[in-house]
Amino acid sequence: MKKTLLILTLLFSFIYSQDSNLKVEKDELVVEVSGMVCAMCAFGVQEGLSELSFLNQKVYKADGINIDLDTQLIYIPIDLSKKIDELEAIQIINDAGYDTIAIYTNFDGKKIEKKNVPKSVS
Amino acid sequence: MFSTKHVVLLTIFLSLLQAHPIIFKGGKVIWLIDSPDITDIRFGKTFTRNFYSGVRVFNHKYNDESYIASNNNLLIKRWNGPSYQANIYGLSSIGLNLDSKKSMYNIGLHSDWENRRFMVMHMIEYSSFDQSTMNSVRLAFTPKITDYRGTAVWLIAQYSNHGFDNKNEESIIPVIRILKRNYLVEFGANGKETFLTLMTHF
Repeated sequence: MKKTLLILTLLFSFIYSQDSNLKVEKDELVVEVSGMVCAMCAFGVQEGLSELSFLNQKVYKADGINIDLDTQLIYIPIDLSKKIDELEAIQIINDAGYDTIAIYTNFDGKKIEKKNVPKSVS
Repeated sequence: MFSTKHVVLLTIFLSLLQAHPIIFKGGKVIWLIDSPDITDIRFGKTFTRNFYSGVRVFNHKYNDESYIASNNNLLIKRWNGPSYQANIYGLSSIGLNLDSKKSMYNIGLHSDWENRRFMVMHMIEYSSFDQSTMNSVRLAFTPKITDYRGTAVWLIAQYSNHGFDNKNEESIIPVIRILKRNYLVEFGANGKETFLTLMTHF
């Protein structure tokens, strides 16, 4: 019983820390993925997402996006004047070899919304 | 060795297999390997998220013969975890000896598991031109985990067993791998043999 409680506590504290430390800008999509452990392989994500139709390229300049391998998060600055198609981003990430877990947004600047997404779309 | 029909059928069959490297859809790779057995230059493209096709020109050092081949790789299965990735790939090449024009093929299976600290890889390949089997195992670790923009250095122990002509030649080569964004360099030496890989994705 004690062991179960300890495991649950650790699990919840991990989930809490992941979400509580997360910062999402108003004009940003943050995508949580799995399997992104190799920097050279993650280059494919950057190459693909840098072609996104709604990417705001001013934020990260030539890189287009930001990748955090520690947290398995991909930060995509978006141009809110354009149509935002989250599936387009998910498909590019899947095509680079990774599973998608969730998308975080903060469009009103007040509350981070988490949306679970399919791990893969064709 | 094969009739044209056999070569065509084999090409179709082997094209259903797929191998290493498979990168991102639309990504291209230029790859040079110089190992104790082979000098190999490859260029190819990943057409779908699990299929790569390209060409390779290689020189087999034991018989000093050169070949040109179509190289097709298939991602058979991938496991993505929160802190790891594991893969199984099918590898295949089919081509010609540049001098004798004899056909050749090569098939293999590549499996790997890696997280940000450790990597394990196994590859087994059969080559028709010398009727040999190559078994390779790599164990690797990085002393320092770097972020996406950093330069990563990996230390690798590479074991190879090359079986041909009723012989088995074994070698262990320590290899250092340096990765920076889309560039990879590997160099290894054990006093008798050297190993070099240069690769870029774009």
